[in-house]
Amino acid sequence: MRGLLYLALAIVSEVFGSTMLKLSEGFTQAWPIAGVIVGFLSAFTFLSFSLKTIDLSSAYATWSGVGTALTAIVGFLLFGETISLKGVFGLTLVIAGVVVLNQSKAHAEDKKQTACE
Amino acid sequence: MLIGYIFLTIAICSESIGAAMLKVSDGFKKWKPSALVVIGYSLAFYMLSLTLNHIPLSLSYATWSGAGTVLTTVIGVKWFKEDLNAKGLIGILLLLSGVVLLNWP
Repeated sequence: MRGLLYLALAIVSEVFGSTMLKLSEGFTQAWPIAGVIVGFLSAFTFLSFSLKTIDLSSAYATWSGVGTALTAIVGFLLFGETISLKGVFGLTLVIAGVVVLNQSKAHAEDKKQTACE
Repeated sequence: MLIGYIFLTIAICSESIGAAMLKVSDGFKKWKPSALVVIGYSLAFYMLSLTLNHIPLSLSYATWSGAGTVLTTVIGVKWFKEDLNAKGLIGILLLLSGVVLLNWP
């Protein structure tokens, strides 16, 4: 349960960081730049905390997949971006791809560790 | 638009170089690769912020994380002799088709 909370915090921090990245207008605005640094540093810190109870495959895949999806939603809601049906398909494929690829990598790592033991 | 894609390409490449150097740095024990990790990721975020002046956030961020994951995997397989199983290959195919579909005009 605590692991899930850390994972949720990691995702929220990443989305906060990516939103600040947009607001920084090419790294020219001081407060958003500070937000980018705080957001992404907290994201990695919370992600490492979550790994104590959640295995790497699920944690990393969930973090990157949900982070990308939420960032896109921020783009639509906060910055008034629009997307075509083709874009929705593309975005879905990217998120599915990130999740599948990260899961496969982590499974390979698990196997390596088991082999070492 | 074109200049945005140039920034985005640099952001993707520098992120992958940073990730590769993370492995070479051996847990930040070697200082030269460790410095390249910091330079790689700093450049990646700077270039991504420049990209966002030209390309929407939803599109740039998905393309950056998607293409970055593919490139990092390719580097892992080519340089570090990491295994790529069937599931990984399916993930790469999904990612490439998604990135192309997202950015196709």
